[in-house]
Amino acid sequence: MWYYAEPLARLIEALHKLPGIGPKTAQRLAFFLMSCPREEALGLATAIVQAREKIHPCTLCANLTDADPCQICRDPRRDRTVICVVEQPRDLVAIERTGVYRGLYHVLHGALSPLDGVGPQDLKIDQLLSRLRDGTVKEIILATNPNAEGEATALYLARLCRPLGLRVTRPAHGLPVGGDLEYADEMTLGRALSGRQEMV
Amino acid sequence: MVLERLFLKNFRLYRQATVAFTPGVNLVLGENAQGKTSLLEALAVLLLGEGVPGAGARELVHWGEEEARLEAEVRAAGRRTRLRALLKRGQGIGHYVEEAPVRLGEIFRFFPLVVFWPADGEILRGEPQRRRQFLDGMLARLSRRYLADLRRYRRALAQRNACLRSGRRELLEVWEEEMATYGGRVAAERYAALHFLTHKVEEIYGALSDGRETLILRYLSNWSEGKEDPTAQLRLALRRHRTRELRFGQTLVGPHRDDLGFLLNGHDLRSQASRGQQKNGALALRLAQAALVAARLDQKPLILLDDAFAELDCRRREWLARYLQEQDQVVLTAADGRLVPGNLTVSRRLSIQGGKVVEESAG
Repeated sequence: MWYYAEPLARLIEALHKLPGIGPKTAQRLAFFLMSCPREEALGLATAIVQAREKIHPCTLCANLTDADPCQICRDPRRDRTVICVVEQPRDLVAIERTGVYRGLYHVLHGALSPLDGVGPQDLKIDQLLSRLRDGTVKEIILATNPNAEGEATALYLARLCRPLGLRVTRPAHGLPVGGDLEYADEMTLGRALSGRQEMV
Repeated sequence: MVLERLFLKNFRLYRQATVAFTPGVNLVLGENAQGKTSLLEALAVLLLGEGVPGAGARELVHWGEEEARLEAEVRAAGRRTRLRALLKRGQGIGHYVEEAPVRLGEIFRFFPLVVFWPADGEILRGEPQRRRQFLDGMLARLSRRYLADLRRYRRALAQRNACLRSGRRELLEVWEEEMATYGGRVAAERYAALHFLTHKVEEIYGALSDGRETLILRYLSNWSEGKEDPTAQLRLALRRHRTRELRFGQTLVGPHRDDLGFLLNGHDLRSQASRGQQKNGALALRLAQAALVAARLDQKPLILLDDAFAELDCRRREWLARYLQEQDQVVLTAADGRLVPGNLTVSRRLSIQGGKVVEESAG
């Protein structure tokens, strides 16, 4: 990349490493950062540094937080008898957005995948089990993804949790609310049909 | 549902050609290497996404060109629809209905097609892999759920194999459960299709041989003893083979190892049959496939037969002619018009020479 000055080339390369950023977008972002007000660019750099310095996994639920325990774990209004297990922090955010769930969470930071060398010890499973020991938790919701790795992880966790006398559940699969039937993809529609329920 | 017109541009030896078809039997005549097979291949690429097996997909685009285009006009329920495939050299094939890009499976379920190639004898005599491809390709086109189940099964299989290789016994069970769920569904679909195909193949091959020979099709599996609850059977088989499979580092039982067996007059066809018998067996299998497609989609598929009369004797040719007469639409090729039996009513006759239609006539 002889046509870029060296620091600029390094910036483009660093941006290119981000998910979803191709070489062209990386170049555009880099030139934008060079032309925007100095404070804005430095502000971005500071925000990255601060987030990296201050954010760490919660020692209870492993969600990303700047306080420990995290806001959700500390919130006295949350139902401490239910834990919802998710793969990633972004899955937690998705469930929080529903505003329906008032229990606690546990973030695994991945799913079982022997092909990628990810085993139980690479997920926050020991941490989860130690949260279940004192008997407060009565139900565990396994909200891992409905793909092969997510299902296998849910099954693995179910086998570990059932002997503890907990209620183990998994979210239902179905049609997106507010969507028209004709726009649902065939697989979702098929699954929703086979899991149909009695009208009451 | 009728194919009315096919347009080809830069496809194999075709520079540019438009070919009209009619309901009933369309006969394509021409000497070798003039473009008969390529004409059928164009339809196979357009409707199935694949050309002649083993015939070099790279050369589908005319030499020296970057892009080929295929278009078909089909009529269904009084409406004309244009299907299109764009082939770019070194890239995949894009499929479109009118102007909208679509999945290949949708094209198939809208306008189904079954092709017989002379090389189809390979399905019967080749490696088990070839027969699984036949079965999976057929079922995946009929149902997207089958394809999804098959992919899910293969993913779980790869994960279980990774566990076997790294010796992680404690994780085997959860992947076995995934494999049992989806492999069970795959096997159930295969058993159901086989149930239909077996009867049809037996009936068609029997007729083709004037009742003198029998061809029996069987599903061969080293883990299941029939179609009852394949999920439970697979779960049990996987558990039972764990110790041995940990030594091999791979899964030795399951739908990915299953096979089709062909018994000709009570003996394994691969060791017994002549080339002619194998070819007839393949023809019976393809016609049975067409019947299965018709039953599942409630619509008779377009049938393409490449050089099907060549190795048949006179009585077999006449039987085949009668069978084809009952189909909605057939396109068949012959190098020599004298091979076409006299009892075949041809609704359209085309002569092909050097990638051009040189003569067309009705009947």
